[in-house]
Amino acid sequence: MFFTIQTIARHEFLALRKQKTFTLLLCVFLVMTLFSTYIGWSTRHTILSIYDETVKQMAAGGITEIPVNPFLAAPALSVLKNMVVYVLLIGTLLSIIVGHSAFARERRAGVVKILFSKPFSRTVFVLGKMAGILFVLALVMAASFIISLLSVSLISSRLLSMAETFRLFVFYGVSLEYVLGFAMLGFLFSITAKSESLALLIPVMIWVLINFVMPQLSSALDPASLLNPTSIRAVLPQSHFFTTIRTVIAPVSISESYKLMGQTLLESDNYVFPVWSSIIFLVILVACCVHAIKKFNVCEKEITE
Amino acid sequence: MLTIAKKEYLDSMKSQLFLVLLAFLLLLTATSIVVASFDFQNKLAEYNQALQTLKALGKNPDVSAPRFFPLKMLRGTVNYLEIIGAIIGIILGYISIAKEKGKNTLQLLLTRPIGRYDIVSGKVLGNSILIFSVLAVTAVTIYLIMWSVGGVQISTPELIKLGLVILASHFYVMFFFCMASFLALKFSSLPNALIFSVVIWLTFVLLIPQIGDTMDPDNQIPGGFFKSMQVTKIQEKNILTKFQTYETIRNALEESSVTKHYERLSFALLGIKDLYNNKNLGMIFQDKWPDVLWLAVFFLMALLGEYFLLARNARILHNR
Repeated sequence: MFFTIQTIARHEFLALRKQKTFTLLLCVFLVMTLFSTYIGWSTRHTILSIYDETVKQMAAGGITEIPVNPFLAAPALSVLKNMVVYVLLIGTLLSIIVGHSAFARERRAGVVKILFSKPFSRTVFVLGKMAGILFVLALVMAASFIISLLSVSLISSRLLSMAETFRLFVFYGVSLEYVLGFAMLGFLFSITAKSESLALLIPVMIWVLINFVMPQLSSALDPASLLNPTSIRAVLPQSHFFTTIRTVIAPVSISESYKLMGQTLLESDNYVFPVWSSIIFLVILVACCVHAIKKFNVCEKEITE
Repeated sequence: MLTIAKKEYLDSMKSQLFLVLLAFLLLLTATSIVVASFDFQNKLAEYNQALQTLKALGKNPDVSAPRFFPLKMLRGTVNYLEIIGAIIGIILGYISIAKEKGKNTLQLLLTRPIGRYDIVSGKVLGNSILIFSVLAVTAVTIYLIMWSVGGVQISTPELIKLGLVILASHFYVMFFFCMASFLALKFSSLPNALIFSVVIWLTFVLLIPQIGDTMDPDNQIPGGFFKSMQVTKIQEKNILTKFQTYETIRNALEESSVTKHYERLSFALLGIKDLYNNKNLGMIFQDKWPDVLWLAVFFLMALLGEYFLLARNARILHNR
């Protein structure tokens, strides 16, 4: 069984490597990783100068009570705060496409019948595909981890400490688990949807619900504001309506849990791991994929447009 | 051309995919208006509570109560139109070409006395009417929700402004339609064309505005950096003049996104930007004509790109 899983996973990896669009999205993600360090550094550099200028003007105006610099004690990793948003946006979309193409490719080529005539169970097929996807996404996250590690060390002119490196490692590890859930979402709908557009569109709609609608319902922040990493620390409305919604949504709002985890790891000294919801999300999706593939009718026509 | 346009319209109206998207857009519109109205109630309640506390302490605060402007409730709706509206445009644009390429019906169509430009013009016209119908349904939904849930009557000038936002939304969605159909025509692999369109969507709609927003010095602290420093708007402007290069780069980045132009124009028309609240159209357009122009330029570039592609290589209609 292990050998079969390994073979399917290897095939998946090789097939994805040849895919131009995967390479394109991968490049976008890695460039944004590098860019996020630059944006973080440039913004911090500017805001510190703006603070100094503000203090100068306040002092000139005779104000003696000057607020403390809110950015002085920011940890080195906080320049990477945009990565939380990029994993949510690009990482998850990249994963949906990776998961989608894992089965859509077989359906498009019309080889599903031949594939399932081989002596292995369909559960093994899903596990093999999942292992292949996991391997590919782990490589993406590893590359992103190295880029972040090097770029932050470079801009802070020192090597990151063991504790900081570990935090960064944990951040990318949790990100990998998070995006794997979305890959399985793409995989699930490539099995169940009748057309390729629907197979891509439904996961994207669920992506919108998870990343925008659920957080908006509990925080009242509009979708554009939710993309600013500062919004994670925004004061939440305390009315009965919003507190009730929050109580209901919080356990299933995986994007909010992920954002909180990312913000805590990169911007504070505490550890918060409210990632159970995304682990449960992943387990449910894997189970759904196994169920869907068992029910999949090999005589069905190949996926359209 | 008109026959193709009619067929295109009817095909999409029957499509399960299109109906799912329309329902999703309406659901998001309703959600964002309801959330915005509860948020306003919450702010009003907080204001009243703070006022009572201050009065009990013997103080007489001169802060005015939050005022209700119905069109301001549409901030989330505009954001969802930016995201979902663009997806609708991409899906319709992609399907309009993919269905013909997939079934090889373009060759059949070309055996008829129809010019190759007529095919594309028919598709653009049919989908343009369809997208306008979707946006009109959204506008009616907005009106009905405001009227039935909040009992809000929208005045005639506000209705005109809402209508103009719908018109801007139409050109915005049509840009993505033309861009997606251009890519579906250009690429020999249809899934690659779709995914490439998604990458462009991600860049224009989410990444560029996100970078611009994150680089905004005032957005570094919840509630605003300058507010936390108790700096007035005039002082803020004075301080930022010393960081003109940074602000220019940030602004240039935002200007490169069609979404940001659409958002700036819509926010001004709806009065979401306080500066334009309750202002007449003349004053709004005096400031916002560059955004109108850029929106038109983006749309025309994508539309003419399609015709240019056909003019250079008519054989792409035969490729599968």
